[in-house]
Amino acid sequence: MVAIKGLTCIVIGGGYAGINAVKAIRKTFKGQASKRTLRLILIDKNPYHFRKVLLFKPAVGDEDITIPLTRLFPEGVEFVQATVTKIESGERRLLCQDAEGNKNSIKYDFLVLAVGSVVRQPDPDQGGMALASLDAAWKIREAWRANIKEAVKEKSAKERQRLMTIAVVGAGISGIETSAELAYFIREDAVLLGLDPSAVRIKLFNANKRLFPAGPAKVGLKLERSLDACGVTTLHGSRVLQEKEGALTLSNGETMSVGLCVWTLGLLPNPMLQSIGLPITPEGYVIVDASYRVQGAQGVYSIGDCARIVDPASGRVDGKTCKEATAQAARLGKILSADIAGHPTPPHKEFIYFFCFALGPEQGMVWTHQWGLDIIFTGKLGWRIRKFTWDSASLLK
Amino acid sequence: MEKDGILKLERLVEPKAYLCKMVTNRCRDLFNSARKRREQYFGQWLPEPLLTPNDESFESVVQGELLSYAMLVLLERLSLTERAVFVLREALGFEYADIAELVGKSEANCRKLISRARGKMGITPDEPVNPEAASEEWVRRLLAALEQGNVDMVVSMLAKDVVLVSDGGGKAFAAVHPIESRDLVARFLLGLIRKTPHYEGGVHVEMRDINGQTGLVVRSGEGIVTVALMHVERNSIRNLYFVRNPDKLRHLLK
Repeated sequence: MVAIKGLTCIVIGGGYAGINAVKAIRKTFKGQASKRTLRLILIDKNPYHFRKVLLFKPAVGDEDITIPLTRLFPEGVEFVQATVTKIESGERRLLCQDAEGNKNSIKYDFLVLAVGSVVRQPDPDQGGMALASLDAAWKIREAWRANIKEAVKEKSAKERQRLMTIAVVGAGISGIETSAELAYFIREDAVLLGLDPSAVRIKLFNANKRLFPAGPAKVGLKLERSLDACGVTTLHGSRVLQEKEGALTLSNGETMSVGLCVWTLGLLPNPMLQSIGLPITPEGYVIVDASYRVQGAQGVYSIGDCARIVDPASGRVDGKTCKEATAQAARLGKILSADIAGHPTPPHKEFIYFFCFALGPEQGMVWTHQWGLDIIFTGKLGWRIRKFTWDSASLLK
Repeated sequence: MEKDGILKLERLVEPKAYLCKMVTNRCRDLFNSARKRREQYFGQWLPEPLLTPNDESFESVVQGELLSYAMLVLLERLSLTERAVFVLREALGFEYADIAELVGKSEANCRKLISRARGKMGITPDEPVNPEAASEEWVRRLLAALEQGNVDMVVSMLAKDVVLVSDGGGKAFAAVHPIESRDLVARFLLGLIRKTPHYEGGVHVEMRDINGQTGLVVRSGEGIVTVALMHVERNSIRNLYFVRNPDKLRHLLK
């Protein structure tokens, strides 16, 4: 009797795309268990899944936004805590390095690259604090808490106002959600400390002419009105150049006094892609075909923030939020199954046009466009849908 | 009413329960009276064109700003919960279990709500939800056929089971009942065109972007007299909506 060879599949990255890929691949292979056995390995530099889209939470409170990978996959998945340094696709082998600096190589049959993105940071001389990591989020929380405590003792009204003013620079989804959450929690603390909560000023600096340029103008306006109701003032067409010793300098030459400047400048493809040995676009995204296969690398696929995925029907580049990553991962499971069986693979299809915003605790807004309608959910239901997308992307549903 | 209740409180064994019950009943009364107003509406009821709801509450699934009129007409038939469940299922493709969690109802209840919503909207279980607005070219062709009095052409542009709904609200002349069938609708439309010379100062018809689609605004010396919108299905007009109630057109004059 000839033994049927098992397959080794490695997923690199325990972010939204990575964990959903693991789930989809396991599901696919469960159905094929009698045909081939699967060794599934998940590699990440951390032992946990980091819920990056919730970074604003530790900037205001104690919420833990990490989930141990072993909790997500108690069995059937091997974890390797290491940083991948090279993919040698010719040999179907990857090289990695663990936290102690030990180098290893692992052979694979299939490899899924889902290393995601990193938060864009300002130049160090631009001052302020970028909401780029857990550590940074904690430091932001410490900073505004220290400011507000100082404001209690401060005699000068002008200085007190400065301490109670925060600039959030960058009005993408992250900037919107961060500013709304900051406004809510700082006001709460202000009340506890006996300060006037209406003196808390959150200024959201938007380089564009309106919020949410990806959707209709009216949705942007509605968002702005909701933020205003939360205590956030949006400043359009404003570019912040620098924050230095409590003074914010804008591109139009104006200056403004602030207690804290938080940068939320969006995402960049993971810089490790530059040296990993796979083809990338000039912007730094992995080049893949309509079935997520990496150009010129046998058995290697890439999904999520790190890949440039284009809908072959419309020619549109897929969005880079956790919703798209989840849908891509589910399709990847079917693609792998089809590739193993030698069947035609399902091509990428763009995700439904659908955006969610959290606007402080239990408040949110969801926009989608269907049947010629701009459909908007607001209030608690908007927030519940927002939470649902976060939880399902992190496999908590 | 609340005062009466408070006066009685001293004599009550369970004042809290009494107050709760009283407020609940009061809310029910209010709700019922609003419904009654709608039921007592004269003739057919249609939503206002260019409706821009600003209600931000949770219960109100905001319908959007750039509304397809045909879809709005259909959605207006639904209760707020039915609308929320319908949109979550049909627009966002959520699973019933997830919808149940989001709206705080049981899965079975959500399935029933969807089925009821589809029924109210006249969409069969297997039929996709897809009301299509008439394009500018369509509207132009229909206008040309009407102006030329080309009966055959008008008839050929209408679906076999076309329905024309006209809302005068008891304040403007309008067909009280929906006009159904291709021949009757064609005759009605051609009749309207023939009547235009009777308007003082004549009638001016212009194409405008209404609710995110091409609609017709009919003006006479008195101002806007009708807003007409239509939806097309399989290359012919399935529904025609005539809003003639002056209360619903006033905001368009601004």
